[in-house]
This record gives sequence, C-alpha cells and structure tokens, in this order.
Amino acid sequence: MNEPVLAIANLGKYYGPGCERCINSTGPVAATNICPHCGTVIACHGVTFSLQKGEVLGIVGESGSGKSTVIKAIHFDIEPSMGEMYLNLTIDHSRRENGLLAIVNGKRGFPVVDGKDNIFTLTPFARRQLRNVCMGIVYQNPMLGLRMNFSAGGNVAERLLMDGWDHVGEMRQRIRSLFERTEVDTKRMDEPPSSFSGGMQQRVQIARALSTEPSLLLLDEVTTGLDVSVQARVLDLLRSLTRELNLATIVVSHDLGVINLLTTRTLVMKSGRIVESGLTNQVLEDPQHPYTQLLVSSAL
Amino acid sequence: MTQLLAVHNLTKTFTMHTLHSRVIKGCTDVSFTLATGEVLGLSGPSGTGKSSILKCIYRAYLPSAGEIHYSSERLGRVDLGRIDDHQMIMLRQHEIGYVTQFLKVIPRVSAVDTVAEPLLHKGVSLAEARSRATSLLKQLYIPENLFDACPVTFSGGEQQRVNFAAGVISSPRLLLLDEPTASLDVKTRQAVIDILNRLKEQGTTMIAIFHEHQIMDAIADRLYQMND
Repeated sequence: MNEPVLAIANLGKYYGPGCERCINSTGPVAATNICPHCGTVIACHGVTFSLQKGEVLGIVGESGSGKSTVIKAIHFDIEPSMGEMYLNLTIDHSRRENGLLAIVNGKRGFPVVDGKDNIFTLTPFARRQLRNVCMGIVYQNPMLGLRMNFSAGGNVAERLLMDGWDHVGEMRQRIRSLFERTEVDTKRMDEPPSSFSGGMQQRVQIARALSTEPSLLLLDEVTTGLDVSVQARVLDLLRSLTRELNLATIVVSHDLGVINLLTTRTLVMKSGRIVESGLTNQVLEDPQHPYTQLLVSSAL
Repeated sequence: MTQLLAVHNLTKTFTMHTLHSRVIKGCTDVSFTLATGEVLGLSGPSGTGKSSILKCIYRAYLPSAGEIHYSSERLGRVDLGRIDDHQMIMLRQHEIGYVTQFLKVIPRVSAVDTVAEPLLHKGVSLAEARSRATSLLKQLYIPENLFDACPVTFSGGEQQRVNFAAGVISSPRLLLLDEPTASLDVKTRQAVIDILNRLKEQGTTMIAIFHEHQIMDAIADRLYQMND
C-alpha cells in the first residue's frame, strides 16, 4: 500500500480552562461540544486519519462540528491543544538553492518531511515554510485567503515570492498560466479581487493555492454561497485539478452533493468528534451513525 | 476452475435510527461460491435482497454478518467486508466493477469522458481512453451528436447505457450487474447482451440481476434463487 502523505493522530483543540470531565461530558452523545462543568469548548477531540497521494477526503458535518478546526490546525492557522501531524512528501528544492529563500534560510534549513517528525512541534518558522511550499488552502470567505486591495496577480505573486521566486517576468508568466487554468480572465490580473465576482474570487484563491505546486490542498466550504451554475464550474475545476495534479485533498463541506462529487472517502463529524468514516458512497448509501442517517435523510 | 468469490452466511440489516431504531432486512444468510469466468444470476421477487448482496460485495453497504472472500490479483484472498477503505478503492479501480441502472452524472463532464474515466485510473492515455469510449458508445447506439454533451439532459435509457459503458469499459475481473437493461428497447438490449457475452468469453466473472428471463438465460451459467 502507499505511504500516507499526511497522518493526523489524536488531534484536539480546546478553548477554555479545561477540567477532568470535559471529554466525557461532551461529544455526539451529549450533543454538545461545550463542557457543562467548566465551559470549555471542545472544538475537536481525538481526530485521527490519514491521507494518501492523490486521494480526496471529505469532512462533512454541521456548523460547529469541528470540521474547519481540523483543516485550520493542519494549515497552522490555529495552534492545536494536543495531537500529532506527520507529513511524508518529496519536495523538489532545486529552485530554492538561490534567491530570497536561501538568504532567509541562512543554511537552507528546509524542514525534513519524511513522516517521522511531529510537524506540530516544529518552530513557527519551519511550519510557515512548509505551509508556503507544501500546502494550498481555499477558504469559504475570500477575505481570509486574499488581500482584497492588492491586484489579483499580486496575491499570487506574494506566495511565489515567499517560495523564492525573484524574477518578475517569470512570475507574471507563471501567474498568467495559473489564471488561464483556473479560468480567471487574465486581462483583469492587475485589478484587485474586491472588484471581482464571488466565483472569480474563489478561482483567484485556487490559483494562489496551487501556485507553489503543493502536495496538499485544503478546501474549506469553497462553493458555499456561490450560485448554482458558478458552483458547478468551480467544482468541476477542482475535480479536474485534483486529478491532473494528483493532489492529496481535504474537502470540508456541509453539502453532501459536493462531498459525493469530489471525494472517495469521507469522515463525518459531530460535536467535535469523528462519528463515522468510510468510502463516500458507502457513507451515503449505508450510513451507520444516527447523525449520519439524519444528515443523509435531510439532503435535498 | 479456481474459486474467485465465496460468500458465506452474508446478512445485511439496516438499523434506522431516525425511525426509533427500526430494523430493516436487506438479505439474510446468503451463501454461494463463484468460479473464475462463471456468471451467476440472482433471481427472486423484489425486496428479497438481490441488490443488497451486490452492494455488500462492492462495499456500498457494510455487511452486518458473514464473510465475502474474494481472491484478488493484487491482494490475495481478502474479506471484502473487512479490508480497509484504501484497499477497497484499489479493488474498485482495478478489479471490481459495478453497474446499476442509475448514472452518477458529473456536471460539465461529457458522455465520452464519463465513460473514459475508469480507463484513466488504470493508466491508459487520454486519447486512447476516449477512442475506446467512443467505440463503446457507438456499439450501444448512443447518437454521435451527444458524445460531447454532459449526460445530465439525456433520456433515462441513454443515461443507463452511458453508465453501463463506464462500468464495463475497463473489463473488470469481477463485474456486478444490477439490472443494467431495465428500460432498454430490444435492439439496445441485444447490444448489451453482446458486450456481456464478449466479456464472458474474455474471462470476466459476473454476478447479475436481470428481470427478463430471456437475458438471464442467455448469459447466466447458474441461478441463485432468493426467497423471503
């Protein structure tokens, strides 16, 4: 079998003082993620899964189930309270031998990602390097992923710069080809995303996420709030991109249609815990957990 | 002949938590074996669990009890109800095919690409996959001016044939057929039968559900009778 690209073990994120009874008095059975004794929010607890190269994994659940917490922890947007994360990637460093990144790095100390070290214990700097090079994220809210008053091209260039690109002409060419692939009108690459439609803003985010050829793509409710025809185009684009680039992808969504279309495996979360996992069509056709059954029977 | 599949006391029940944990019966205590190259027909009235058996083998359902021993080319002898998800994904891509009468339509993806897709998973080039998909669609009498259209607007019978083509194009080792001819006319039904017979000659093992006796007789070597 393939080695997993990403492995998450026992991930937990808690907001509050915490007490001995927090874990036992929260979760899907208690139907809450707030500890009744100390008020701590158990955003997620005991989340364990792995992801292989080219695999598209769905995380489905209602608002507050902890699904976004999981990918925010993986993207180092939040500091987890507990748990481990392992990355096992082959990264081509040839481009990073020169230029800005070599200077910043001093001794070119790019973190080793051979699946042996717990990534959560690395320094913030090392994690930021990993994030820039190995991961791309697309948020539901484009305001989180884009600088609205920079140019669209500048948004992508920012990430390329952080990855050691230093030739303006080469960068523009790269951005142009990314925009062509993600169906952003290249005539508008110097305009700010604030002047773009919602669907186009998402496509700029996708171009930015893919600019450094990451191995791991994180999609947080990317089509929520877009109108149906735009949603279909964005989904279709994501579907073909994940195939073409053989990306390990995590799709967070409350929409079972999106999950069904994009993913092969699915985790179902409720009150901060994984309540069920399996092949996507099995989870949809033969849901085991009461919550998943409710979710499937509620779908339009 | 070597044994490819051995289903042993397979039982599937559904606990419906949204209906006060009511238990619904899928199939009960099903046992049969299947040799390589053999075609087994499942027959019996509606609701006796024929489709449940196929879905358990394909892991669209998780079996409640019993075993499904399958001799995989890549994994050796495995229990399809218990192997991990990644192994099942691999088997679905390379060894086990499943055809229903319902098509999972993917927006903006053309009929040809829908059919070609399983070949891409097997490493066939896009050009070759498309040309094989095109010839298969022609054999199934899909009008050529529909090849590059998305099947979402196709008629029921056309969608069914696109789905059938996608299910058989990669010549799976084990093919599960759940009424693939349910709403087809005589001509296209014959095309389906011809394609299935050709697969059979090439050594594909099949488990099939057909409502029409003539088709069952034309294809199946043996029948497994389901009762309440």
